[in-house]
Amino acid sequence: MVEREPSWQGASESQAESRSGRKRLWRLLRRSPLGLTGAIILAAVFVMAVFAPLLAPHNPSLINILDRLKPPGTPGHPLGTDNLGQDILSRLIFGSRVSLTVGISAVALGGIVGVAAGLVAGYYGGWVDDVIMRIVDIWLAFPAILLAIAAMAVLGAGLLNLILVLGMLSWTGYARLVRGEVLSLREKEFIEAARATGARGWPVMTKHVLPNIIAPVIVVASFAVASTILTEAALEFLGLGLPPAVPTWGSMLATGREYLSSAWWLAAFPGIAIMITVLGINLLGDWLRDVLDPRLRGSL
Amino acid sequence: MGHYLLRRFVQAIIVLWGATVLAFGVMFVGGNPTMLMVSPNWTKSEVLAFQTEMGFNKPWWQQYLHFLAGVLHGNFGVSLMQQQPVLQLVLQRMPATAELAGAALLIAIILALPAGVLSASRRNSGIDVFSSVGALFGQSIPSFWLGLMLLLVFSVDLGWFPVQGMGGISHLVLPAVTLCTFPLALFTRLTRSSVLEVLAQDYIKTARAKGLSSRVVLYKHALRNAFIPVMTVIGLNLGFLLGGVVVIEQVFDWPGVGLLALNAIEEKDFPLVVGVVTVAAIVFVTVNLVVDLLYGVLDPRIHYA
Repeated sequence: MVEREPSWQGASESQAESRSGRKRLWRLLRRSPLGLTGAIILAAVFVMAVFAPLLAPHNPSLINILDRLKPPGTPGHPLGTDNLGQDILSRLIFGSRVSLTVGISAVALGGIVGVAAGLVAGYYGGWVDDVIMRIVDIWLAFPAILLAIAAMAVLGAGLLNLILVLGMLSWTGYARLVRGEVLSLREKEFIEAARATGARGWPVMTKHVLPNIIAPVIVVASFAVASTILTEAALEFLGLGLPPAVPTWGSMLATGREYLSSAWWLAAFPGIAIMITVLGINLLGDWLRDVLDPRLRGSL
Repeated sequence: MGHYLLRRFVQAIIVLWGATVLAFGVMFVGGNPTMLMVSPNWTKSEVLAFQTEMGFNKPWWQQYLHFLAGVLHGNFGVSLMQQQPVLQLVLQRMPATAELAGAALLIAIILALPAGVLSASRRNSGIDVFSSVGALFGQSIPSFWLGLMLLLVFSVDLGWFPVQGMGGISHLVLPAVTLCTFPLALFTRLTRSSVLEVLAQDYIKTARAKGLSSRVVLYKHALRNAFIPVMTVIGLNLGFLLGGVVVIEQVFDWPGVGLLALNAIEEKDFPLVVGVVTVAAIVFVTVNLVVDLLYGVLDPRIHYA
């Protein structure tokens, strides 16, 4: 998988091979300080999201007006409290759940739609290709955030709506990438050989073409998670994401904006949390790109 | 060339048509658009009267054709709240957005080109590490948060810049700096990798071999060739690069098109929302077309077949 050698068998790598591939990736990761930093940051955010109820010192939604707007360093509230007296550290820890869930699900959704569209466009060519690529062009004509804002306003707040809207923002990137890869692959001998054995359509695409384009798709997806988390935070900041009671980094920032001049910590910490998470993903993405598909260096 | 122009033009028309479908379709993804715009305390007859007045009782395709016919005549609908033509409202706000976006892009390009060239020519030096790390942070920072922090430090604490609104240069500084971070980071990385690639080419070796100074080689030969991919990214991703403008207008209360759209959503003024989205799409498709055609001028190696 790492070498991207088009093998005659395509996906039929043995399990032993993929295990040694994983070992090789791990060895490479240990040798790259930046990639390793990214992996550690991301692992920490994952642990935070999964074990949020164990790690958070308080219930993130516990309102305590008597303790409102306490500055960082207050005993029991290391990062302070917000306008309702809710513990900021606890809300940050729980907020990681939304960012990761939305980021990963939306990218998975966009990835599946985009890869399928790109495969079909590249493999069949002709008018199918024309239609799909024009749809991509239409999608790209919009400033994505404007479309997302309008769609969220119509659909209303909610986790599923958020994932759907953010997922549908990103499929075009994969479609273009995959189409280009497929166009160059389908002239290769091993695809011709597969066709010669009578295989057609979907089986050829999923068994022989897909395994050979998975590396660039993984690289693009890793960067997409980063940008999706940023867009999600922006939508939350505008009040267009989840219902207000759910702790998210973006909505914490929106509250923080109202108290900017009197209580800076409300806005400062959620932004730092977003930045560190996105930085970790970008570091890991850079490393993945260098290892899996250095050709993408100029474009990503 | 003529054939290419025609094909590219027809493509742009198709994309524009699709954009109207998508912009109009957004109103229908949640079902009946009437329910988005009426307030819950309206009586049933009031709702029905509104529905008939807006034409929402007709089949969706009839509504779309009506909308499309209007767009072709330059009529993008009428704002519910402000009772003014949408196009007029958008055009009023366009200069503010153009000023902010233009300033941000200009800062990004002016800083990114030298930073990228220096990084590439002195690979792994202090400058390279500094600009690479800076670019990494620039791509990871939520721009609206950066805006808030700049406001906090430079407006609230130090009082150097006004807190919000539009006016002279002093109003423009913070929003433009905020908006430029992402493109700046991206362009710096692109320029760096693009120059690195060009520096490895044979014609650079030739230029060096014939005794040209490294400055001439770098800025005249390398940068000129490295600029094309950067230009491509700028032109084709303008919508993506400037998407942040919507949120940043909100942070700084900058009276541009983004703020117009956000206010329209708050007021449930959906004809205005659809109109803004459509006009924005038209602007971007036109810019993309122009950039595409400019390649031929920038890069004589490109011949349109």
